[in-house]
Amino acid sequence: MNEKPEKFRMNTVFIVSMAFCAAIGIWGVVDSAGMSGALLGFTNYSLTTVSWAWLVTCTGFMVLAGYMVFGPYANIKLGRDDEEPEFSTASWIAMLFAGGMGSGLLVWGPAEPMYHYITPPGAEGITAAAARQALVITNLHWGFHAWSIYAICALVIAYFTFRKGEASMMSTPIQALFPGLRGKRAGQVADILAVLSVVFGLAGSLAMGTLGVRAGSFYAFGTSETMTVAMIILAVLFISYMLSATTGVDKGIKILSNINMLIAIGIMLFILFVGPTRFLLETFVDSIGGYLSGLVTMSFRLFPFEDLGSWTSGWTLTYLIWWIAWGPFVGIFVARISRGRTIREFCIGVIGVPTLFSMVWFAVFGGAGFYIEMFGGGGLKEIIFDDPMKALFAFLSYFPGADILNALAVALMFIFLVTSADSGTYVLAMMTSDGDLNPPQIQKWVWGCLIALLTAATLLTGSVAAAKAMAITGAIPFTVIILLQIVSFMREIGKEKVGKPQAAATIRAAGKEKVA
Amino acid sequence: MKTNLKMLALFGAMVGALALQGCKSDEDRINIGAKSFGENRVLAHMVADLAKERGLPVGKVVEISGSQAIMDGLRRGDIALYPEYNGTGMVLVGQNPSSNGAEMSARLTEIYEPLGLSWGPKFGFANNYGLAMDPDRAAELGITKMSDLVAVAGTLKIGAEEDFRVRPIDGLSAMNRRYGLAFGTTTIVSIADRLSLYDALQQNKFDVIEVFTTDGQITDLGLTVLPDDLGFFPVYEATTLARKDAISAHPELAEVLQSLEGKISAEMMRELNRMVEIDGRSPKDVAKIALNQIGLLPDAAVSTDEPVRIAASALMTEGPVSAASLRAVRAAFPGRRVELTASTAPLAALAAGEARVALVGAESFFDVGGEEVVRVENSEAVVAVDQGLIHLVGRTGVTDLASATGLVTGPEGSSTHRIAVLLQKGLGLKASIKPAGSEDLGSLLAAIPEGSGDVAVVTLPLADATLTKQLQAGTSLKLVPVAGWTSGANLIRYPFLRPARIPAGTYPGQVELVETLSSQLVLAGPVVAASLVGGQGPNLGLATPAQVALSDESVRAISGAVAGATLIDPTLRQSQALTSGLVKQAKGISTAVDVMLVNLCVILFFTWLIILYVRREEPAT
Repeated sequence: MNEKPEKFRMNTVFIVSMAFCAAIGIWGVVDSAGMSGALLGFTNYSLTTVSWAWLVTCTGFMVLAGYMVFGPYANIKLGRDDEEPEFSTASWIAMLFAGGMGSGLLVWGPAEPMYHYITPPGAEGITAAAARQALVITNLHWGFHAWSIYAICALVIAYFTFRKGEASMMSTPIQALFPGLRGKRAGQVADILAVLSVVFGLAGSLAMGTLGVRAGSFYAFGTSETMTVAMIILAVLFISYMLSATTGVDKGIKILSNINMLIAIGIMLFILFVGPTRFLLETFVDSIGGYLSGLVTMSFRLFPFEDLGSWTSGWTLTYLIWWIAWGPFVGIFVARISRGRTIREFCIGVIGVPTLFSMVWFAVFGGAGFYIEMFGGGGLKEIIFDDPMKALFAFLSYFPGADILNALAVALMFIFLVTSADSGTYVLAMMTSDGDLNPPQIQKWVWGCLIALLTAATLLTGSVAAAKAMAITGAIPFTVIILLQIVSFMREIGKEKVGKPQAAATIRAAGKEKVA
Repeated sequence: MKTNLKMLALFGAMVGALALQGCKSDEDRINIGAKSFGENRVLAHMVADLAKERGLPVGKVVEISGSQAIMDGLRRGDIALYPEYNGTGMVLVGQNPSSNGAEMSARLTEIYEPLGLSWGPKFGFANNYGLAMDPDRAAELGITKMSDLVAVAGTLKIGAEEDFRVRPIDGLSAMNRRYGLAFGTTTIVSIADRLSLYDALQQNKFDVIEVFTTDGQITDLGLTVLPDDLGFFPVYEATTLARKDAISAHPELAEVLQSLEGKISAEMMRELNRMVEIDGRSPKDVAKIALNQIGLLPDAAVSTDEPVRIAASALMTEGPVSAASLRAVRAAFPGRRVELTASTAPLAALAAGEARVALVGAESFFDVGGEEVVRVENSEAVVAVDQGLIHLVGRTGVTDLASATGLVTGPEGSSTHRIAVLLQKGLGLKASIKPAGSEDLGSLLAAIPEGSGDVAVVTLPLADATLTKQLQAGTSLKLVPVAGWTSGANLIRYPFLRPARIPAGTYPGQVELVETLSSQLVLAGPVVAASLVGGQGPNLGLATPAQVALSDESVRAISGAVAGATLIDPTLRQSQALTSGLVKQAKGISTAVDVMLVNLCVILFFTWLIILYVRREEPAT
C-alpha cells in the first residue's frame, strides 16, 4: 500500500461535524428520552404526512437502477476505460453485504416473516396466504428497493470519483450542480450531514449490537447480562475494528468480510439441510414468483382504503429510510471498493446478487420459522413478538447443535459489528480528509475513538433509542441531497459519448476478468 | 483461483460434516419424553439437565400428550424415557392402582419386564387425588384428617370434577362409601374447568374441593390437604419409565435417575408446579431451580427474564379477579413469568413502564382533579374482567354519607381516592377525605376505629371474601348506602360510575340491600403512538420499556382468555386491535393546513428537480 505522509487535516467539515457531534451527543446523554421523542416524532410526521413521496422516491431509485443496467450508459466504466477491478467479485460482494446490512439480516431473518405471517396488513393472519404474502413483504423491504438505494448512492459517488477524477465526497455532485460559492456552501452542508449520520448511525448500531452480542453470549456461553460485560464486549470490539480499519480496505476489512460471508452461508446451509429441506426449497421457489409478480403492485402499494397508513410508515417506509440513512456511508464505501467496474456490472453486483441472497436467506430463516409454527409444535412466535432481538437465538435453539449454532451466530454478529465499524471509521476518515481514498491513520483513530466513546456513553446512559433516532432522522434531509446528486449525475452522464465499439470492448474485458 | 477452489471445497466439507453431524446425532441422541403438563415437563427437564451435565448425548425434551401415546412413543424408541406415575402404569395395562406404592411397584416391574421397559427409582412424591380445605375453615370445624369430615359432612359443600365423579373404584362415590360421607351439596364441574374449583373455594362457594395433591394452587392459596387416614386413594408415585436398551447403552443414565431418588417432596413439587402454572415460568427454568435447590446442579444458570408485571390496587391483589387477570395475561405471554404487583396508581405505573398491564377500575382513566372530569389518553382498555362495586364501610352509627365526617381512602391518585373525590363533588358532601398510607383493605378499615375517619371507601367485586371476613370480625362496621346519586347530573358528568345494588345477605349482618355505585374493572395497556413510527415495525427494538405497547396479538389473546367477559364500558378508550375493520368515524374532508403545506412543498421540490434536470445546459454557461 502506498502510504502517504501522515498528516492530520483540519478543515471546515471536520471542525463543524465535531462541534455538532459534541452538541448532539450531550443532548442525547443528558435528555435521552426527550431527544428520541422529539426526533422520532419528527420522523413519524414526515413519514405519515407525505408517505406517497417516500414510496415514489424509493421506487424511483429502483427504476433508475434498471435504466442504468439496460439503458445507454450500461457500459460506461467507473474508472478509466482500461481500468481493471481492484477486488475479486466474491470479495467485493462479501464486503457489500458486510457493510450494507450486516447484523440486521441476522436479527430479522426469522423475525420479520413471522411478524407479517401473524399480523399481515389488511388481511387475516396465520393462513397459507398470509405466509406467502409475508415473504413478499419481507423481500420488498430487503430486496431490490434496499439495494437500489445503496447502488444509486454509491454509483453517483463512484462516477464522480473514478470517472471524473474528483474527490470522493458527498459534496462533489452538489458542487457540480451549483457552481460557485453557493455550491460550496451547499456541499459543505451535505458533507457535514453525511458525517453526522454516519457517526450516529454507527454509534446506535454498535450500542444495539453490543447488547445483541451480550444477549447472544448469555444463550451461547451463559455469561451474565451486566453493564460490565457490555463494556468488555465494546472494548474488544474497539480493538478489533481499529486493527481492521488501520490495516486498510485490502487487508482487514476484506478478510473479515470474507470470513463473515462464509459463516453466514454456513449457518444458512445448515438450517437448509438439517431443517425441513424440501419445505424450505419450495418456500424459496414460491417466494421468487410471489416477489417478482408482486413487485410492481408492492412498489406502489399504500393503504388509503384500509386506513392503514400507520402500517406503511411503521414498516415499509421505516425500512426504506433506514437504507437511505445508511446511504452516505454505504455509498462512499461501496464506491471505494467498486473502482474499475462498468455501470451494468456495478448495478447487477450491488442490486441483483445481494437481493437474490437475501431472498434465499429469508426463505430459509423465515420458512423454517413458518414450519415450526405450522407443523413443528410452535412456540416461536410468542418469543419473537415479545423481543425480536432474541428471535434468532430462540430460533436456533430449535435445531440440533444449538449451542454451536448460537456460538457461531454470536461470532457472526460480532464480526458484522466489526466490519460495520471499521468501514464506518474508514469512510469518516475519507469524508473529513477531502475525499482521500487512503485517508491518514490519525484521522481514522480520531473517528474510531469518538465512535467508541459515543457508544459507551449511549450504553451507560441507556440512550440507545436516542442514538438510533438521530440516525434515522438524518435520512430526511439527506434524501434531498441524494435527489440533487442524482440530478447532477444525470446531467453529467448525459454528456458521455456512448459509442458502440467501446462498449463491445468493455464487455469483452469484463468477461475476461471474470474468468481470470 | 486455485486457492478459491480449495477454500470452497474445505468450506463445503465443513458444512457437510456439520449437517451430517446434526442429522446423525439426532438418531443416537437420548430423547426424553414429557407429558403435556407442567409437573411432567419439569421432571423431564430435570433428568435431561442432569444427563447433559454428565456428558450424555441428550437430545431434546419431546412433548407427547396422553399416557397411551407417550407409552407408544417409548416402545417405538422415539424417546428413551419419560416421567410416569406407578398408578398410571397399572391403569395402562388394565389393572387397578392400589394405595400401597411399594407393592404396586414390584408388580409393575414384573409386568413391564417382558416389554423391554424398566421402572426407575421414585422421585419421592405422589400426585394423588385428595381433598383440600381452607385452613381457617378446617380449624373452625376441627378437621385435621378426612375421617373428621364424617361428623359435619351434612352441612358441607363439596366441589369435584367430572372425571373424579365417574371413576368407579377410586372416585367420588367410592370415597363416600369408604368413609361413610354424605355431603350436604355436591357440585360437579367439567375436567377442563378443574382449576375453577380453587376460585370457587376462595369465594366460599365450597367448603371442600377435590384436588391433585401436587397442584401448585395448594401452595399458592395456602390450602390444607386432608390426610387420607384410611388409605383409600390409590397412590400415583412419580418415577420414570425407560427403555432397557437405552439404560444399558448409557449406564450413566441409571446413575442420573438414582441421584434423583427421593429428592422431591410433595411440598417441593407443589412449589415447582406453582412456579410453572401460576408464575408462568418455563418448565426448563423451573427444572434448573429445582436442581439448584436439591444441590445436584449448584451453578445452574437460570435465565433472569424480567417478569411481565400487572399493576393493580392493593385491594385487587387477591381473589378471583386477580386470578382471572393473571390467567388472561399469561395466555398472552406464554413461557413468561407473570406477576401481579400492588400499586397505588396502576395506570401511572403503566406509563412509567413499571408494568405492562394494569388492572384498574374505569374511574382510573379520568382526571378528577379539575372542574370537569377529563379522560386521560395514555392508556387503553383491553378487556373487562369484572365489575367493581363501591363498598362504603362505615362505623355503625353512620347511616348515610351526608352525616359522615371523614372518608378514608387510599393515597392520593389511587382508585378509592378518585371515587371519594367524585362522591364529594357529586353529592356535595361535607366530609373531608383522609388518605391512608396504603390502599389495602386492612389499613383502610383499621383507620375507622383509630378515628381518622368514619367511612372507608373501598372498591371490590361483589361478595369479596376478605371483606366478608372483615365484616364478620369487626361487628362495629356496616355498609353505608350511596343516596341521591341519580338526582343531579351525576350520570352524565361521571358516566363511568353507574348505580348498582349489593343484594341483601351478601355480607354477614347485612339484612337489606344497599344502594351503591359500580365501575367496570378492566385490564389496560399503555397507548404508544406519537413517538414511535406507527407503534410497530422494525423500530420496535428502539422502544424503551416505558414505551412498549401490547401487540395486537397480545391484546386479542388477553381479551380472549377472560371467560364470559362483557364488552368494555363505552366511556373508556379501548384498544385499536379490538375495533376490527374500518374505523367508521366522520372526518372533515379538508386536511390540516400543515399537511397541505408539506405536501405542496414536496410537489414543488420534485418539480424543481425536474426543471433543474431539463434545463441542464444553462447553469453551465
